[in-house]
Amino acid sequence: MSGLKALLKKELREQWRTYKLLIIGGLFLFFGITTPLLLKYLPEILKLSGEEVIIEIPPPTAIQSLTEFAGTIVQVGVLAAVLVAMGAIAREKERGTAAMVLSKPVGRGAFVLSKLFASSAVFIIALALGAVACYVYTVSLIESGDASGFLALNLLVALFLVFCLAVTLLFSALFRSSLLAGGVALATLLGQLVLTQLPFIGDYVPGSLVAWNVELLSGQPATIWPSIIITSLLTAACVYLAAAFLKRREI
Amino acid sequence: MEAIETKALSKRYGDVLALDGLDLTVKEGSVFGFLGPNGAGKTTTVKLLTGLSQPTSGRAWVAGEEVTPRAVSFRSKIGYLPDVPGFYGWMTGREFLLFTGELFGLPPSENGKHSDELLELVDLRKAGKRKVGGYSRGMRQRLGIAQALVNRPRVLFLDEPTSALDPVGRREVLELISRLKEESTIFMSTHILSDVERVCDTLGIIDQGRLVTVASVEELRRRYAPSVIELQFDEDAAPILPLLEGQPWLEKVESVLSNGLPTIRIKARDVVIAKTEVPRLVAQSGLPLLRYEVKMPSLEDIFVELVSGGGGL
Repeated sequence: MSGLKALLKKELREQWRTYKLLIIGGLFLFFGITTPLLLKYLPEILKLSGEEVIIEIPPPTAIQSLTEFAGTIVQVGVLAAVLVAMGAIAREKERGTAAMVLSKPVGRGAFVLSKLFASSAVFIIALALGAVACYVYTVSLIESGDASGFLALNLLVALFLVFCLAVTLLFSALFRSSLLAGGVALATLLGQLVLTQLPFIGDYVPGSLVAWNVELLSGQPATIWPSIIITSLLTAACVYLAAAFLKRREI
Repeated sequence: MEAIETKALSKRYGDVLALDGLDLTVKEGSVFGFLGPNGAGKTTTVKLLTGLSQPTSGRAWVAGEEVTPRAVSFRSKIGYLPDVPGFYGWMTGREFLLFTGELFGLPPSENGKHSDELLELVDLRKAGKRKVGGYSRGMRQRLGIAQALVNRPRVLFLDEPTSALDPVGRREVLELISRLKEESTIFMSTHILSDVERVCDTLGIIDQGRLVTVASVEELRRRYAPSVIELQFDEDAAPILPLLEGQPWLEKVESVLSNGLPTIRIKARDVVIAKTEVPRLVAQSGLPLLRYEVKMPSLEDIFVELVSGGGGL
């Protein structure tokens, strides 16, 4: 992997300097704080609105707060991952920076991998920030929850987000337009989320990783290993294909 | 040793044959001008030689190694300036050079010093601290040259290095290129003839994907556009025409009026003989000669003649 270190350093600096870490971190932190907050104070907010209609809202639970957070992060995260990664390669090709870098002694694989590592780092840091905030607020506002289950859930969310980034990077390598890359990536990712609803194969697509949340948090056994392995393999395949494509195509 | 060698190198984009069987050798230490009109296949060739694109058929060697998109090691011996160099707008000029040095695996201490030297060389010492996003076109071009020199390349590829610059910027870049030729073999693609005349010692002309000719500038002048000898007389020049017409070295003679004076234009098949014979014939004719001039063809004349399909090989 020639040049991986230098490329990774540059990519990480780019994430920082172009405020990606700040934006994604802020976004996830926002959901981490507001999810338990809203659950807790929703009844009172409704009361304040002065409606006399009595709506029976059961008292919020920790499971509810933590799973809701994970659910929101998955939805927002897919979109954020696509937005962050769609231009990562396509824009470098368009602006000519890819030609500058790839005419140097660096491997195409290192080029793709450095982007996946750096953007994954941003999302994992952001997720950690949001998750810690969510857990702290849930415990202090609602009740204490299953920390290890929540950790496991977040690891699955992290893996899923890395997968989303890898898919988007693949299309970013394939197309010259970042908008097209983003559109196709989003369609693919939403498409596989739909697949989770299907019987049998639904349990094995990457989207199923984030469908186990309730089981995880309530301590029920869940067979998630197949889909963890499949998602990891698909992520690696995306990187490999993106690099292979960059070798074949004109930069 | 050859710095660049290609064998039947071809590139096809769909129906378009962008490069058609290029056979080319560039000697080490030369400044090779790759000349052709827009769309002739110049950038395609440079991309193939730098491994940024794969040939449809044929092979290429640069600095003794075969070029493929997978071959990483030959790229540490080349420098490349694309026709439109792209930079990360969030980096400063100096940071971009440092980043480039890191890609080449230069040790950090050497990298910093070398980057400063390069900024000095391309006259960006002050601007090196500013973000590239705010650079002018000329500054970006100079930074592009600097980044192509980071690894002290054995072969330097410059794709249209002057086309987007104003006259002052062009002169600066050309002077820079002249200075670089001591260290590297330079392969420079361009459509600007005067650039080639100023810095290149060898010239390849490409048109519609085919290499039309390779020669030195002088050789090209000698070979392709035969010199024209112009004679101007005080009075009617007709008496000299019969003397000229029988000569074996003559290709064409015409009688015209130039500035109101009778003028004879002689196009010779063999200029060397013509130059000795014409004065003798003038003396023989006894006409009062006003002016005798051997007109050298401009490179532009040759270029237009070659690429317009007039007098190719």
